[in-house]
Amino acid sequence: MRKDNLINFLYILPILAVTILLFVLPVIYSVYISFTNLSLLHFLKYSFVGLQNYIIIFKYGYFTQLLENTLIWTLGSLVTMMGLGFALALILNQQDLKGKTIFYAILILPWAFPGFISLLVWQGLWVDPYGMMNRLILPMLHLPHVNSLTSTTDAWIELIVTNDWLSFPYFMTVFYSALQSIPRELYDIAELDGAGTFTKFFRITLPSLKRTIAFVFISSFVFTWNNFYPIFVLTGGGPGISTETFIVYAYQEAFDYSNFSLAAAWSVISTLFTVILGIIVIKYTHILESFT
Amino acid sequence: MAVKHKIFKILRLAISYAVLIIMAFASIFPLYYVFMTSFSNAPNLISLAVSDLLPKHLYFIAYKELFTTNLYGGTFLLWLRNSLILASATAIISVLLALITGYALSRLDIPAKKILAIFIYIVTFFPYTATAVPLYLLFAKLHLLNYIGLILAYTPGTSIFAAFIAKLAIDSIPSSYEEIAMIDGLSRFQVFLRIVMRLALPVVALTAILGFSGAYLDFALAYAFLLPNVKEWTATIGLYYMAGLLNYASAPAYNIFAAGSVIMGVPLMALFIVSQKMMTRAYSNLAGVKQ
Repeated sequence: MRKDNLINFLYILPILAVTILLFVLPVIYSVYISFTNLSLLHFLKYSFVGLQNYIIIFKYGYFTQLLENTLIWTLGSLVTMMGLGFALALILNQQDLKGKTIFYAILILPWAFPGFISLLVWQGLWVDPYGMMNRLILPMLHLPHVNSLTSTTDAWIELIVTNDWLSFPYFMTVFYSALQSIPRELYDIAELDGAGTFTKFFRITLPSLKRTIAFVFISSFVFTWNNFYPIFVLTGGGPGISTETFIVYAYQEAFDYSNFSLAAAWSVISTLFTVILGIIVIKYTHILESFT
Repeated sequence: MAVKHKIFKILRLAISYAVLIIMAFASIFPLYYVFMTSFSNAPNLISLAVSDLLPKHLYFIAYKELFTTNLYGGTFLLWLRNSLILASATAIISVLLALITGYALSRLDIPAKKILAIFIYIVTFFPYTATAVPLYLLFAKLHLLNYIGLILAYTPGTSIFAAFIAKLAIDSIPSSYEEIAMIDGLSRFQVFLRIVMRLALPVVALTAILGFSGAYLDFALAYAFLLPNVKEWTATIGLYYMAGLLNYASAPAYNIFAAGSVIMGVPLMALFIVSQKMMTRAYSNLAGVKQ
């Protein structure tokens, strides 16, 4: 029996090996680097500097600024994306609505087209004043220009609107399929009892979706927290560092400014946050119970 | 009462259709715009006119130039080839890894299985953008800042996620099939190849698609690992450069970028639409929606 167990262990050895090589070792190595002064200037002859990188991060207010930015980014995106997705799912779920299939097929296109390429396209759309958003769409709607180079508020609007465009189809799809799994009879009975639209919504629809909403919120929270491309492509964290999040800032410190040790320290902080969020996801969604 | 009911119904449907039409327009517009730009002859954003969105003729010059011009010392075809090699290798390795792991989690008696599962599951919360810096630092030391390093880095994210889906799929295959085959003299590994892989074919397809598109569309790691050597660029680095984000002054005409986006994006969009049903089922299994 014991020998069998050992042979069985070989089956999961490959995944363990890559997990350790690609996750555990790099994290340990970056903890080590974060205590040095490795940068382009000190690339081969770097030395230990103790907590200096962490002191820079915490002392000059970068940490609180980035935490605030990451929260604005995550919650701002999530609340609007989920709201939009939920509203569209409710609209599509009406019995007497015609053309559902066609509308659904069109509405998932932003999800279907590769996100990174869409972001490059959106970057061109938002350029002020030549991009089509500022030249055509916003004037058509009598809305003011959006210039993410000079205004922080504009930068957040640009980021969150674009992220909503990219992600609402996912939320719409998940909520739509959850709505369809609510038994029709529940509504029929409620109607016989004289329940109105709002009563049905708050007494049947919302309670039935509680599990789905919680799962989607928690897992998307982690995803959005770590969502790198929209900020990297659209604003690059600007103006200044006013739309930088942990993950984008770590990347830029390393690959734009070659401040590897500082970037390593940011990565360590960002990793800690993700592990904590990950454990919360596992605890709240009980996702692993179906696996083990 | 009945009249009030009727007005409410008309109003409800009118608002619904209005919202759907506005959102449909918003969904299509950026894609329509990039399509039309790729068929225009506008070299930059300034010269791209609103009338180019409703053109009188279509120009194919951008596509011609995309495939023939030398871009920054490389060519789009070369970058596309690099991306395809990377993505195919990632897809194949992800499938093997996912199924072996899924099989082990489903069927085999392994010490500390639950803790191991939690350990590898946490890794799926880290997109490779989050580990880009530590990976770069470590791989620079190990001389892995190349394709092998990239394939290694792309594989676990997809294959762990897929391994859990594979586990659920393999759970639903009766284990008596395998027992019979093993009595007939097949080894466990042969059983795995001939029976489990065949029956779990939807998971194989899904994993291959996820692995392929993950690697094909990655920018962050490829950019960190391969930027210095233009000939080794992937198509996403090429697109980033063509969009004028790497070095605005040397970027090619904007319609060439648009053509590149269409060439790269449309096949993946088709792949997504084909696999969307599978994906939704997999996600909602994970979300516990269908219970």
